[in-house]
Amino acid sequence: MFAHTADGQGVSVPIPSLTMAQVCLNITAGSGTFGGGEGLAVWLQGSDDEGLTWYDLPSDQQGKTAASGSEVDAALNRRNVTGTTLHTTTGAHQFLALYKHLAAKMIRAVWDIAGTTPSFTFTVVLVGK
Amino acid sequence: MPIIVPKTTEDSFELVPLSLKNPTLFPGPTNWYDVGRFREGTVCVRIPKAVGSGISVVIWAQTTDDDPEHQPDDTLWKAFDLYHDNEMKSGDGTTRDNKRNVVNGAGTGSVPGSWRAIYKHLACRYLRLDFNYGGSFGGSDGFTWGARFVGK
Repeated sequence: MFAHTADGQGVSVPIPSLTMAQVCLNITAGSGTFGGGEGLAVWLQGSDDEGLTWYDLPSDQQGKTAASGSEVDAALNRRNVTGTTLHTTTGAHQFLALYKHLAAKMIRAVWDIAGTTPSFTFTVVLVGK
Repeated sequence: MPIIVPKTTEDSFELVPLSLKNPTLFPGPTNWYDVGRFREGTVCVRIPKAVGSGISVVIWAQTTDDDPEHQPDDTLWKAFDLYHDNEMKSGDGTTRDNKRNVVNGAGTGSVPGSWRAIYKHLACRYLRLDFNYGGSFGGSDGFTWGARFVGK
């Protein structure tokens, strides 16, 4: 778990046997000042050529964990695990994105961070079958 | 809270036994269950009885990105809400698609009832149920409910 202050990406992971997966984004802290179009975005990329070229992968379902009993609709066919709007809030938040058909040779997590002195502490974990 | 791992021969098991539940009797989520060998699953909830007035319950499934080696104390496992492909209450005839709640608010007027939600791509390894009670519960008030998981 690290504090991230700029754009970056995780390690490239070969997934020869995975056909579906969920990405769990666990944000434990956030800070900074954010204007329009600024904040944190996290998404998954796949490669078809051993990591030379990367393509953005949309999830089939995406949502944010909520303690309330209010109904939550999954967002469908979105790129960002963080949802359609950029994440700009402090505190702990959990997001989940489900990829029902993961036909890529390799995957990696990518994130964009924009704002005034932005910092987000998070992990991205992929669980697949 | 112990992790209950189903026997490898079981493709259907109890997530939570059928019994009277209210915020005092059953205040937190269920145990975690290992569903790693299933590629799709159904959560079936039955609520045969409700006692009280103006009370309600919402029930949904959660998963986690933790595992016994990474985090042996499962009380510290981080939970993530799961989204089903569709949910239907028996007798209603219509589905609710791509939502979180398996039981989206049951009150005394909607029981007895049974609900089932399907997860057509069960990528997760662990699953549990969380829930939320609404209204004011008297001492013996509550919902008699239980749930099972069917995996393939």
